[in-house]
Amino acid sequence: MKQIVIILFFFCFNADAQVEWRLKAYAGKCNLFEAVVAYEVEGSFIGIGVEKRINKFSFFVNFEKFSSQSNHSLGISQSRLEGGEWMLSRYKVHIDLERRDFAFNDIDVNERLFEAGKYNDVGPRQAFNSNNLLIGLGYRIFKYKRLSLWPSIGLAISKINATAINYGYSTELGPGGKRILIRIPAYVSYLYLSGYVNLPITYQITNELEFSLISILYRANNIYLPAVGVSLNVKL
Amino acid sequence: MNKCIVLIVMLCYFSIQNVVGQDYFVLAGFGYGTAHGPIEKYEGTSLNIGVGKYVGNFFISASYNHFTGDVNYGTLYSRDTPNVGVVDKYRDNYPLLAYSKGRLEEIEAGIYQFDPSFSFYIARQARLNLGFKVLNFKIAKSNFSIEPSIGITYTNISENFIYGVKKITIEDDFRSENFIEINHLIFAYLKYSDFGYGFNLPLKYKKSNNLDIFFDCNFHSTFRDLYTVQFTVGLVKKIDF
Repeated sequence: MKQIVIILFFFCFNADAQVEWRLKAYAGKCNLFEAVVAYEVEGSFIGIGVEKRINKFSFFVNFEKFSSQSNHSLGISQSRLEGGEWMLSRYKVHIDLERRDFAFNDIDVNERLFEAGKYNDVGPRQAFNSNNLLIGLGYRIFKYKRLSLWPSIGLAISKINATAINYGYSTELGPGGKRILIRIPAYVSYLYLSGYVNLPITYQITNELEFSLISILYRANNIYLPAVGVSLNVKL
Repeated sequence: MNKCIVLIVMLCYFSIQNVVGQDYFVLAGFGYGTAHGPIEKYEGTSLNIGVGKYVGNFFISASYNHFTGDVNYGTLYSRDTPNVGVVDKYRDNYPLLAYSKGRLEEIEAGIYQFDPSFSFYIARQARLNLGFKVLNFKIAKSNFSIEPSIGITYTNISENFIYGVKKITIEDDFRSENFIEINHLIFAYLKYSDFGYGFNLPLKYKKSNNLDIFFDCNFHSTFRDLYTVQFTVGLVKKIDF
């Protein structure tokens, strides 16, 4: 480990090091994917950041917003019986209906709500929003003329808000002799630390300006957040 | 409306093509602000990225703004006009009364309205702005400029409300025919898109010849029932091709 750090310092901070700062602005499409119930929600993301490049290394701090919402569920989640439970169980968050409050594993569980979603399908309304503060490290592994490849890894602290509305149980017969299907909504809000990888393919347009195709993957427990987009990198 | 946009874009394009001494720029900013809808008021943050071009003292910019916010508790909309919000879908009061009929792309509503509990709001906005450098001034050897702009916008909005609690009688088990009472959250989901307009009033500090730091106060509204006020800080970097 010590050797790796020493080598990194050698490459980064030797006297001939080429140092430059860059401003990054990027955006694209993302797709939230929950592995257990094969639940997908399409969305988009946007980010800004600053990057310091020292020779082949890059260090960056970004702030990003990922938002997804869907009016339909995809994949097998539509017919999976325990789908209604996924939000509560996968996020390990319980909702206290009486207090109209939410918390992270520290409040009484309303068992009835928890049960209510258990045997029913995932409903048609899901929304997910995440604000990520990301720090990361990249390394240029390939360069050919103006084209270069900068694979990056990082850690993001994310503030996540998510809602899911699942199909629930039917009610008693109403005045017209009809039943209605009650939906089970859930709302969670929490902080999360997740890993990040990115594989930007960068084209140098001018000495100052670069254009990148980025492909990002976040992973947190059973949730995967792949995204593709474009980025403009400007020399500061 | 569409004709207006095409006309403005064409005017911008031709005016830029015929002038020499052009500078391109890239902007990136972080903002904080509020969004005021017909039912709720939201507070949140935004990111704004864009590109643009200076033509003399004029500039044109195309940018993309992504705003997300949580509901601001106890707003005028939900407290003072309790019948405006989510109404009983199952008793033919559908769609939501607060929104113009026929404009919602997607909608889903629960039963009865309560005070708002948990909600959040996502707005993605494309902006095309025309601006002018009106004032350059110095304070203690630092250069500043004011560059207001006006623009047109296209916004895609998704609102997710979850309201308070109501006791409701449902089946105890799936198709059990045995009914029990539970507490049930009330929800609504709305999605709609609109053209609009906006004003930006940025104050720029010239950090170097090619780099500005800006502080921007901006107002955007759809032509119907939504407006946002945001304060943004960010960087503008000029590029020469």
